[in-house]
Amino acid sequence: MKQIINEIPIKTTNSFKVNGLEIEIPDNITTHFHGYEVNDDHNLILETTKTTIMNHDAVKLNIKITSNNESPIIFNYYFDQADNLIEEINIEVLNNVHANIIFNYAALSKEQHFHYLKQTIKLDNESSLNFSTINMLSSNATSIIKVDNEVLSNANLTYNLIDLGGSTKVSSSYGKTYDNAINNLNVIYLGTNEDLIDTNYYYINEETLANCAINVQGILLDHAKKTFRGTIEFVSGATSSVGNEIENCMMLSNDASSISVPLLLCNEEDVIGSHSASNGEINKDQLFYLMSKGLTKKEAINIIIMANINPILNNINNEKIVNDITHSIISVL
Amino acid sequence: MKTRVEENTTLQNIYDIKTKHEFVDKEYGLTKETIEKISASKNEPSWVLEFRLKALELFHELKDPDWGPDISYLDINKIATYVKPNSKENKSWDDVPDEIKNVFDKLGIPESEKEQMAGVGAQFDSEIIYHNLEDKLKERGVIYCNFDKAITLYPELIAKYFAKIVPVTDHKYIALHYALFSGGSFIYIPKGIKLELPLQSYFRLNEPGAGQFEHTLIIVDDDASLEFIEGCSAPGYNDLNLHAGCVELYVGKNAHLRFSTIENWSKNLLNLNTKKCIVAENGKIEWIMGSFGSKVSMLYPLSVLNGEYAKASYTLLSFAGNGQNLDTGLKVIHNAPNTTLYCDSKSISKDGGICTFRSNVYVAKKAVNANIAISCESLMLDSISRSDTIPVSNINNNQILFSHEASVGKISPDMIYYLMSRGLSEKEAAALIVEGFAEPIAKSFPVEYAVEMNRLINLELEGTIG
Repeated sequence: MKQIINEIPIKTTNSFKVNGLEIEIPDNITTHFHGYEVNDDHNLILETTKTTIMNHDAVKLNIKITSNNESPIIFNYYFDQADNLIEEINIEVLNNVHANIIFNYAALSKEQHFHYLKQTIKLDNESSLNFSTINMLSSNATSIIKVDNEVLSNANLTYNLIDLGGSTKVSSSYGKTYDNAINNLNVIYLGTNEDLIDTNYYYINEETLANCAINVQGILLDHAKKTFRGTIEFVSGATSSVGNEIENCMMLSNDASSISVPLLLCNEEDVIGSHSASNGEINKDQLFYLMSKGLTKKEAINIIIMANINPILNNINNEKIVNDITHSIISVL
Repeated sequence: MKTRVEENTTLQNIYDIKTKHEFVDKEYGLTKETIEKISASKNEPSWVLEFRLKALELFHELKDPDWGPDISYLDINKIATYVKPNSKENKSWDDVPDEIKNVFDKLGIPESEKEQMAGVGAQFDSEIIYHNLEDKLKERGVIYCNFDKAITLYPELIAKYFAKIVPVTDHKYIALHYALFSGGSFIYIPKGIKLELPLQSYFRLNEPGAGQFEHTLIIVDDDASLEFIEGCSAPGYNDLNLHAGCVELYVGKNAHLRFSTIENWSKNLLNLNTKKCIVAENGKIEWIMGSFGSKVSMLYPLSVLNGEYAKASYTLLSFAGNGQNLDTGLKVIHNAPNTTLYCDSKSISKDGGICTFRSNVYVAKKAVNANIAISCESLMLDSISRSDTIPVSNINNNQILFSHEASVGKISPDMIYYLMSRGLSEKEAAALIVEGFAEPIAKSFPVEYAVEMNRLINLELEGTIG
């Protein structure tokens, strides 16, 4: 079944085909998965049910976080052989609760896994959540991640998406930020071989003093193709609010291609909004400087890339997972 | 902090002068017969009529864009598609009918011609009523004439360039343009000729409910240079007016073209203009545009950087007030190595006005070492206005430098406070900040036009600043 997804909120000329992504969701995909492992669930209310997503049977997991946790609650999903997963995960962080959660998707085999993840996250007043979704599926997988979030008054969400696995990586995030709340999206993507990466992030400052940010760091190799769509919108009444958007695409191959569509939509005068995008090879001056200090070109490239992505990885409070991510990236450079 | 600017009675809107003029012919709608009549009145070669009729078919086949401002209320059958003024083309302002000359006098066109122009063209509704070029430039082979005349006078150049840079299939309203084109300017600057003074064409749309479809074709041959200034205005009426002009530019090897526009159409006009430029090796196109008028504008000048080391620069200012939706920007195709794009865009929105900046940048695989820097700043003067930035870049090699920056915000209360602490009134402080915001654009124009642009900004600022 063909679907148009990742549509930008305001259409533009059709010549670059950036208004949305037409994607084929196979009709014959059925959820076949043995479940997740969680390291610590005593602060959670978990409820698993069945649901339907895009006419496919799916798994639904509702999570209510009722008390603080300092070290992260980690949900590990291991895809093996014929595993496919279509799932919906709904997370609510209750008032004044401060939580830290990681959803880690890894592959045990190199089959063509299919993973469709629909997440909704709601942060109640005064709460905070440091949330990471890590896609380290096999290079043959298809990964579609769709996140909706709402950050209520004085709450603080940091959402980290590490999108490394799969030959097709599609992600979207729709965020609403309310009174004096903070809503940060951090993304790292990696494209190799003939990978297709397609993103659409749309964050809205709904009320006064709302603060949202989109920070995307990407690495493209080989013939990978990436389309980045990012939108920050200020609605009327979102006075004294702030929105920033940064996209940095490090293109390590002359055969890679990069499309960027960073939108800034403003219906309120009393705001500070900015976006910036940069695309291209690694800065030659930086490379030269590091190589003049005795590093090889490969070592210098690794250092520059890690310098760009480490501020995001630092949000993930699990050393093993960060090491796995780092190794996964360095091994293909 | 809210600032009110009191009514400045010393500012008169010279652009809104309404002139009663008896036209010779006025055609409504868009039929084969209308087009045949227009073509016959111009004694055109038969191929032009065939081309117009083909364009008419295309106009009916093509669809409105499914993006951008709503223009669905445009009914071409209610537009006077051809209005012939009661004046032939003149080489002396003394021969221009008084009521038309008075309009251009008030716009300052004859005066600027005396002081700072190498040549001037003036169009009133559908026809050129004045065209002149310094004799010494004619002797050096420079051509500057009414586009309608160029079709018969310079058939080889027309065959080589006309409708080649902007093809008839480009979009629905360029098809409309090619069906109805009338007037406009043709310029040819021979190899190695560098004009010291600019040429200027001024397009005045006077008749209520009329359309203007002028065609401008400029060829700056190898090693030549030209500065061209385009002015546009219309008085305000209740009827919907339409402007669907077309500008085709060719910049040869090592050539330079600066194309400046101050556009102040009336706020009952749809401005669906198309501008494109092809730039050869080491050539440079500079677009300088101040967009103040029109109800809706959709204008995205395209530069095709076809030659190695070709350059494009854009200096853009939009100012949208009540009832205006100015959707402007740029398109650039990097099609050769070592090409450069620089863009500095600024917009100001007030009283519910909408400014949208769109950029489309394509870098071909072979266009290595492209250097691209786009900066887009938006100033919001109230919370009922809107400012959107919609940039698209499509990059197909990694040996480039690409950066895009955009920001949006209001007049800083700290800046107002600072200037007031130096003795300025609140309104003076706010006006100074807005002028300072627009200054990089204004200073790109010749000094008299920079003054004109500041005058326009002050006209637009009458009423609420922020």
